Amino acid sequence: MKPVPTIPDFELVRPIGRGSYGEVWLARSVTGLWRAIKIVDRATFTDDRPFLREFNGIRRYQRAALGQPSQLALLHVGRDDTAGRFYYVMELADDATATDEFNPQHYVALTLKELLCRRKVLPAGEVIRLGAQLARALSLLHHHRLIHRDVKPSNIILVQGVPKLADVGLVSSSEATLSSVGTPGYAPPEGPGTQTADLYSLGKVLYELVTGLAPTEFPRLPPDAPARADAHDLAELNVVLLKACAVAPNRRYAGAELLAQDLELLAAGRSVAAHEAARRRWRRLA
Amino acid sequence: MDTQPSSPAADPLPTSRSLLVKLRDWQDRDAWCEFVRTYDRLVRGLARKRGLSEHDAEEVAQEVFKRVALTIHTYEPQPRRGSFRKWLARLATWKTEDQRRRERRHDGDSFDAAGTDASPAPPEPAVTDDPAAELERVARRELLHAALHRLRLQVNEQHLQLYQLHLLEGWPVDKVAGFFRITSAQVYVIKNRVGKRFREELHRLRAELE
Repeated sequence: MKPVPTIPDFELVRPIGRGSYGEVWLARSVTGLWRAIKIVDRATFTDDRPFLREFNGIRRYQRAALGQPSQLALLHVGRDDTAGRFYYVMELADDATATDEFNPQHYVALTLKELLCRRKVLPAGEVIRLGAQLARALSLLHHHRLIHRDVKPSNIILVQGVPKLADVGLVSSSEATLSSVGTPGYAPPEGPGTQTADLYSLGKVLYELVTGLAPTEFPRLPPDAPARADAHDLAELNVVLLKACAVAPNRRYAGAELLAQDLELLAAGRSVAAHEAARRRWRRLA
Repeated sequence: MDTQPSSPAADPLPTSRSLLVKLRDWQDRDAWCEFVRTYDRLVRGLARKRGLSEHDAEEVAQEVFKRVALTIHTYEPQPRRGSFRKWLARLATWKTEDQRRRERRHDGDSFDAAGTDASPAPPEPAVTDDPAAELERVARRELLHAALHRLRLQVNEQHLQLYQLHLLEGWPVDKVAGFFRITSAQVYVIKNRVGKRFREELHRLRAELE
C-alpha cells in the first residue's frame, strides 16, 4: 500500500479521484474545513516539461480565477521540490450521497457525470441554467487566453449547486500546442485545444444531460422528444446545441460570450430562434 | 400515424465473410475499426435495452470486443445468414448479465456503506428469450440510424432530426411540425428532400456491408 502523502496543515483522509497526471485527496485543514487536494508527482512524467507546464497552467489559472465565483477556487498552491511534486488545495465538490451529516468515508464528489448517473436525464430548463453558468465560466477563461481542453461531465463539479470546471490542471495557454488531451465524443472533429473546441465540448455535455444519450449520438433526439413535458425548452435548447456542435468550426459560436448570451436568453424565457429571425430581418432592412 | 418506415427486406446488417476472416489478423487495424464501428452501437444498444447505464453498456462493449479478439481465430463462419451475429448476441448477453451481477453486488455494498441512496432503482430490463432476435431488431434500427448519421455532413442537422423523429420514432407530421415550430407542409418538403438522400445512403451502407 502506498504511503499517505503529507501536506502541511492538512490531514489527507482518502483518495477520491484521479485527474490528469495526479491523484485527488479528500483532506481536512487544521481548522476542520474539508477540501480537495490534488497532488502532482514529477515521477508521473517522463521529463520536466509537462510537469512544469501543468504547474504554469495552474499558476495562470489561479490568477484568472481569483475572486470569480464561476471558477473553481484554488485556495493554495504548494511545491515540494525535495519530494518532487506540487499540490493545490481546492474547494470541495458537493457530496453526491447527500446525507445531512458529512461522512468522509462515504463522500462522493458530485460531478455532472454522477448527477447524470443518478438522474438519467435532466429537464431542459435546468440544463439551460447549468449551460449558461458554464459558458460564462469558459468565457472568463478564454478572456484570459486560457483553454480548458477537456470539458466533459466528469470534469464538471457542483459546488453549492454552482457548476464549475474541474481538472483545472489541464488548463493551458491558448498559444500552447498540446496533444493527447480531450475525450472522444466530446472533442470536435478537428481536435481539442481551441476556444471553439471547448464550446463544442460544452455543447456535447449539455446534449448528454438533456437527452440522456451518449455524446456520440449527436444530433439524435430522444425518441420521446415531442411528448416530453419540457418539449418547448428542449426544442429551443436544441437550436443552440446544433450551433455549438456544428461539424464545421466556422458555423459554431465564435466565442463563449455569444453562447452564454443565447443560453441566458433562453433562461429568461425568450426564444433564440425568434431572436435570430428578428436579427436577420433587421439586417435585411439596414 | 402518417407513414411508417418500410422494413428492409434484406439482412439489415450483414457481416461479410471477408471481414470475419480479416478480423483473425490482429494486425489488420482497418478491419477492427470497421468491426467496432459496425457493432459498437449494437452491443451497447442491447446492453442498454437490458437495463444497463450508458457507462456500464460501454464496459460491456469493451468486454465483448476483447473476447471477440481472443476467440475470433476459432470462429468458423457459417453460410447461414446472421450466424455470426447470433454468436455475438450470446456473447453480449453473457457479458451484460455479468455486468448486471457486478452492479447488483456493487449496489448492495454501497447501500450497506452509505446507509442511504438517493438514486432511483434502475429500470427492470425487458427480458427476452431470444437475444439474437433482439439484436436483429436493434441492428435494423441501428442501420437506419447509421445511415442518418452519415448524412450529417451533407444535410442540415435539424432536418435530420426531423426525419429521425418522423421516420425512426414514428411521430406523425403534425407532432414533428409542432416540436420544430414549422408548418406541416414544410415537414413534407424536408421529409422528401432528406428521404431521397437517406435511401441512397442506406443503399450504399448495405452494399458496403455485404
